[in-house]
Amino acid sequence: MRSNDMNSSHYPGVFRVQKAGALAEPLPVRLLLVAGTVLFLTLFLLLPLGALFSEALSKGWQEYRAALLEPDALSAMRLTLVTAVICVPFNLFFGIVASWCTAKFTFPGKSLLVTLIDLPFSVSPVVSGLVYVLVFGQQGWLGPWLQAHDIKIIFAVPGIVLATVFVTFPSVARELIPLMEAQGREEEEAALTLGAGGLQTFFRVTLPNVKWGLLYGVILCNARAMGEFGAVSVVSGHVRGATNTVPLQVEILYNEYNFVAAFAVASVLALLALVSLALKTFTEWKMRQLQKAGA
Amino acid sequence: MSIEIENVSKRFGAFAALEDVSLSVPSGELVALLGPSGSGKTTLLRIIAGLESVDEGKVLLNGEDASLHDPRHRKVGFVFQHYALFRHMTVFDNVAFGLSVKPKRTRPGKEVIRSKVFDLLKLIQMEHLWDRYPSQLSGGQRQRVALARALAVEPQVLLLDEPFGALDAKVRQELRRWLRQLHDEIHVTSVFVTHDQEEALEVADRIVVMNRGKVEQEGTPSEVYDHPANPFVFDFLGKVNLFHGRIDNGVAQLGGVRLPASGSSSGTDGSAVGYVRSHDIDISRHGSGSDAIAAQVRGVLRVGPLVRVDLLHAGGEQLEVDLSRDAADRLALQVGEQVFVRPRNVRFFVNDYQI
Repeated sequence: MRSNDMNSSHYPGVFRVQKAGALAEPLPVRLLLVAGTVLFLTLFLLLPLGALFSEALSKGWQEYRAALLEPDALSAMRLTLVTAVICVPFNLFFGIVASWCTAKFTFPGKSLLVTLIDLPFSVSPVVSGLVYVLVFGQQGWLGPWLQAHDIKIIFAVPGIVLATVFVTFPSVARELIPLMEAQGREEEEAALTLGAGGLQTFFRVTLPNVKWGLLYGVILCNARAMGEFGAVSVVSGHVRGATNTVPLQVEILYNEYNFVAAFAVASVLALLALVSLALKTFTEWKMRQLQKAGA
Repeated sequence: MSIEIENVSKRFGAFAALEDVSLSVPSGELVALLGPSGSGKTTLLRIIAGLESVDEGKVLLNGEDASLHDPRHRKVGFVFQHYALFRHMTVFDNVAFGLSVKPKRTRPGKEVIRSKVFDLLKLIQMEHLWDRYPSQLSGGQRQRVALARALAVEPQVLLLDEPFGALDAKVRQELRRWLRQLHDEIHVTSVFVTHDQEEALEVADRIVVMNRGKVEQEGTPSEVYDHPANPFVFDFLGKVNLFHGRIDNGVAQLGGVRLPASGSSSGTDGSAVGYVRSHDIDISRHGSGSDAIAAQVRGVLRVGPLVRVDLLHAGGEQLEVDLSRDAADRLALQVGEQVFVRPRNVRFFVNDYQI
């Protein structure tokens, strides 16, 4: 009885160390695995990142600054920000609604809806862009009507926003659906029997329970929205200073052999990626903490 | 508030969860719905709460058709098997939830809510843990918070779904007793679901035994235990031994022993099964073939305060007999030994199926 207690509850640490010891690989194997991983990461991830910044700064800070403050570059950044500012809240709203419907209710056609939500991630972004051209372009289905009412979508900002919304659509919903499904419906049922209405239940029970997952989805959505190339490239028309987003601007500069400027603008995207990564890691850590705490 | 269930049926796809169930719970009683898993007891509880709709039939709360009211206005407190506490809220906020979501007109002031929540926390002996999160509490503490949360809105009916199912044996016993005391204090009509017959017998005023979507028997704990209506109830409420035999002219023949078949469920003659509880069998070394059944001891096991004796009787069937420690010590049974068993309180059920 006594020894049993010591093993299982009073000294959990001792028990765990023994277990880990039994499972661990011998030292040389561990070193080899770690060294291999570090080498791989350096070669394929750190080296390119370093190359990008060193190329961007190869002619000094002055040139770097000038490349970033150039009017076309600034306009590209402005457009990218505008796109993200419209796209992220839109996807946030529809992501929450879609995941709430599918995770907390059952209705016919539910699995079809879940598949549809995933569609943008499974088709090539170029195809999504082309589809928008076919629908909204001059020769497209709605083209004549749009022209008659003097509305410009393709080769203009609305087209870029639409294409970005489309390709980023699943990012929030995909994060939330598994999380909400894992949490089940019991807390909502408890709120209901305690007299809470639908909206009260949603804002006071459902939403707070998924807030970290939601933030994670928003970060991914934002990163994708700002970095999107394929779909946006098809619908933008590449008008300098008007319909170029940051990734498109990078491509143009590169094709003009303006390497310093191309890498300088690209470094903005790389920095954005690093910030997203840091935020993502933090939210992941936070979610794990909560998972450990909740039962 | 009284609960009347009238001819309720409920199907999930091809599975019939409830078939034509009728039941009435008088105001202020503590009733147990007892049955094996899949017997429909939880479905019935959820239907009373309005969390599940009925296919046929009616639920009346205080004589009024409950389907006229949304679940949120039924004044029903529900305690879930896995607590379903709001994980992002403290104990205090969990208990206060039902009061704080009331519409502005009827919502009590902050101070009133505060004092009411602390009264409830005192009732569940947890006022010092008011700022903890559910993840920081033990299972028993979580279940008490869930109960306090349900009581905060002053429900007319309290429904508990396997309230102690996920707790260990010791805590379960304590909480059981505590629930009984609590009910004696506040007298709210309560229905709880359990698959544990001991729990039902100990806590409830009345027991409703369910099986395969139907009510098998309804009555006080001693009624269902001492006078089970059918073999299922007999078998489900405690350990039972079977003796196969025949009934002729009101006399039962069980492996050479003749017994008056007074407890027969039907007066017809034919093959019958005698049901005997494991503590209603005497064992002795002396006897003859006419007043006792010969049996062989297969095993003797001390289980806490009782001694369990496994036997094989002359008819070739296994018997399980519970003896007190004293009786077992006096007999000092040896494995392999030949003994005689005498059943007391035999209930006969004539086979109601034909092959």
